Amino acid sequence: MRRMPRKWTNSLVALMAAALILAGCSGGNTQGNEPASGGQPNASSGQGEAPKGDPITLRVELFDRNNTPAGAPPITDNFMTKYIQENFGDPNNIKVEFVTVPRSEEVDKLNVLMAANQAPDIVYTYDLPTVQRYVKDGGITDLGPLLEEHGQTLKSVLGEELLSYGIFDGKQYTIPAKRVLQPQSSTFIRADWLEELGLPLPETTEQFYETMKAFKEKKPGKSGDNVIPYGQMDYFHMHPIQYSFWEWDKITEEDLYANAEWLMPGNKEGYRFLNKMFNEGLVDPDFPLHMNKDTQQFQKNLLNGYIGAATTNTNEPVYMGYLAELQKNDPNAKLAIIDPFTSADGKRPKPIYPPNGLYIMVPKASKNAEAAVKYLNWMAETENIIALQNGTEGETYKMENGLPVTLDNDQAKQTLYNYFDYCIILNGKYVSTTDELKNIEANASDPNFKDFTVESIATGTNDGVIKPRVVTPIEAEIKYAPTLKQKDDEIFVKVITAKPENFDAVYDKEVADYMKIGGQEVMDEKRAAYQAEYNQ
Amino acid sequence: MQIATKRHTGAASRVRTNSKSSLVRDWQLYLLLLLPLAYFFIFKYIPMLGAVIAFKDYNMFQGVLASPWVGFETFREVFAMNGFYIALRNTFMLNLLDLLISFPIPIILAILLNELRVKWFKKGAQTILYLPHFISWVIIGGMAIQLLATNNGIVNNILKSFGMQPVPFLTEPFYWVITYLGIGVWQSAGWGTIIYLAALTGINKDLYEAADVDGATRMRKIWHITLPGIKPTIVILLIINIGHMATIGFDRPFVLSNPLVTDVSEVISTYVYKIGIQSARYTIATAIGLFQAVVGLIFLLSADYISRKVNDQGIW
Repeated sequence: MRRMPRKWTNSLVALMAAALILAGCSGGNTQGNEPASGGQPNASSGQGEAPKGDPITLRVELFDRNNTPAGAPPITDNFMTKYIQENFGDPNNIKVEFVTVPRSEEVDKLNVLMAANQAPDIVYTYDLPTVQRYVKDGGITDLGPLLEEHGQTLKSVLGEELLSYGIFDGKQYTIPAKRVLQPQSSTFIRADWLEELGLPLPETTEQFYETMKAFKEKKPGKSGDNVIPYGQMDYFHMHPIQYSFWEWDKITEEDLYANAEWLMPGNKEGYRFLNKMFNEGLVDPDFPLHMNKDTQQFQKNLLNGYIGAATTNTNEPVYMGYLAELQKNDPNAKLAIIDPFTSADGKRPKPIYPPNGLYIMVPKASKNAEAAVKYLNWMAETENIIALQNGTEGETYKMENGLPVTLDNDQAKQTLYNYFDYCIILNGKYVSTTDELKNIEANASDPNFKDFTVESIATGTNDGVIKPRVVTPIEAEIKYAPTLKQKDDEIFVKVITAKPENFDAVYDKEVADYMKIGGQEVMDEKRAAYQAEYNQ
Repeated sequence: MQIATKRHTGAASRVRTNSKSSLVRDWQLYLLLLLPLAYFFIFKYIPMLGAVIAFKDYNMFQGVLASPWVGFETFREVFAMNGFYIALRNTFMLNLLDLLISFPIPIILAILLNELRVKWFKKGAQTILYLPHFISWVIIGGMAIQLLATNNGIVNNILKSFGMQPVPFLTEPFYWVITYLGIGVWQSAGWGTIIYLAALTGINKDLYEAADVDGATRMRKIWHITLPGIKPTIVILLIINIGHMATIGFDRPFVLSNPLVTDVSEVISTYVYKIGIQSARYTIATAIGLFQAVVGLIFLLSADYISRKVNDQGIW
């Protein structure tokens, strides 16, 4: 009887020890494996005369937007990745592997991958301060010589001017993607509501305001007491209104580049207007609770028929699919594009994007820079662009007047929902280097709403303003950008929700605070950098 | 208590005298202990070495070791940040209020549950009280907005239908703090009763019977038997809570906050996330983390010291 428990403990110990060893092994394996999968093939490619049977693994970042439709294959093993492997990978003895990064936290995740030395061979981000920090910390490969040697197709598609956006400290550290379409935001209105009330499309800020008041009072359509005349409130999408109040004759190019937006002449009046709209109940009274947190709320309100007008990303109602959804809920619903926010000089200024999209980089730790540039160069060939953006002819798209038109079938929906994440050198569908209109039409991804798309893009570009560019990185901006961005939101909400009689006091106090926590420092440095670059 | 300490020291001395032979005799048991020890060493102690980046100008491409030393430069920068003091103040404020309000409630709940005589009702009540603990803060945050939004929230809609003014639960700093505390109590009070209920089962039933014989009322029994019975547990939990004064969870303030209340809702954890992680300034994040740990340790030790002086009870 005394031996039994002893035997029992012995075997238990043996079991635990085995488990410990196993755990240690597998733990060591996964930890050691990650860098090895990037590192081992590197070694072979570094030697140059690597045996043919031993392929290089090229690891490529891939945004995971969490929007895979039901039934579609995973984003790392679908039509696109197979096309890439078969047409680029296999002929070059390269295994292309995709590393997913959640879209909503791409910068945080990329930072961690970089710090852990596990970043893919091709990484990218939209965030300029992040790129500048990587350059400053010496973490990125200079792609200039490789681009010269292996990237002629890529160079001709992107063009010298665009490529200059990727130059930092005089070196081609990044390859900027080409942004095919530059508009940021467009404004729509419920045309059926206007018809019901016998109102015309608003053409000026004043008319827009009157229309919103009419929506509030008459509650057209099925809105009832829940009516939200002007739907989406956040700092980014209020820029057309903001810009229309700026006193452009008092703003120099240097001001436009360096000034905090809160200090622009006329900015306060723009917010006084929004404050008035809030206090008269023309916008969602609970918007501070949803802003930048629950973007679904806006779509829900729209689909429920509460929203009369809204400023969204250009063409968003089409590419996010909620326009189609709205018309399914309410066959009478009609959205019309408007461009009412007019400045004192009769223009309709609004910010548009610079010609570059995301910044593509190769980390210094990667030994596959050459393969990376070859990959991007391969991607720039016309037939590959068409395939990666449109799928297979006859199955997911058809050619019409030289334009690929997406077919309205399940296969197209399951193949193309994230096409933009594979052909990373282009932001937006691209068919012609010369004909802008063709590119716009190519981006009308849903043939049913082609006119809506074309008009969104036209008004979104109308009188567009691009802020001047200064190449020198602004240290203070790298440091304070996230803090100031959050402060923007805070001021935005506080001044708009203030009581009208307190508006001036709140505005002045908050803006002073903004300047104190870094705004002034950023502004001073930007001014100095601008003068150094342009006034010599 | 005295008996317990005596037994404890007795056991310790026996182990000390026979330490060698017991190690040989029970080597299997010590071997089993290696596994949890290794866990703590690998996942709790080795990562602590990374804290050196608080004293370095950390460059993620050079790594921890190769980055140059900067001494206390980072701390100087942190202490010069205006936002840091606001975050620190809010952390202390919210934690202190939490301690005052959320700490006693599980004790009261546990005593109430203990007095219940109907078995099924007691069990049911316990389960209902625990449940919120298992709901993720993200979901609670969404529920809070749906229920408490100033204009379209269900609660305010009800208030309005009775002709009352809506209450800005989430959008005015004062009400936000109350909402924050209330939701915290709702989420964690039930779960907090578990430890007290366990302590309550350890109280000798004879004491209650004796009190019954003496004709003590229910309140008297609670005051003179129940409460003293769980006092050691209360004290230890109090000390641990005070030790956490400088640290605060990330989820709760983060999901409940909105730009209108950042003056009171920005706490150290959300501040570190913004300054340290989002802008990849890991040095700053580490320095603040280290500072927090030191403050927490000071609080813990002083609470323990005071408790020892006053109560003759501590955590060691």
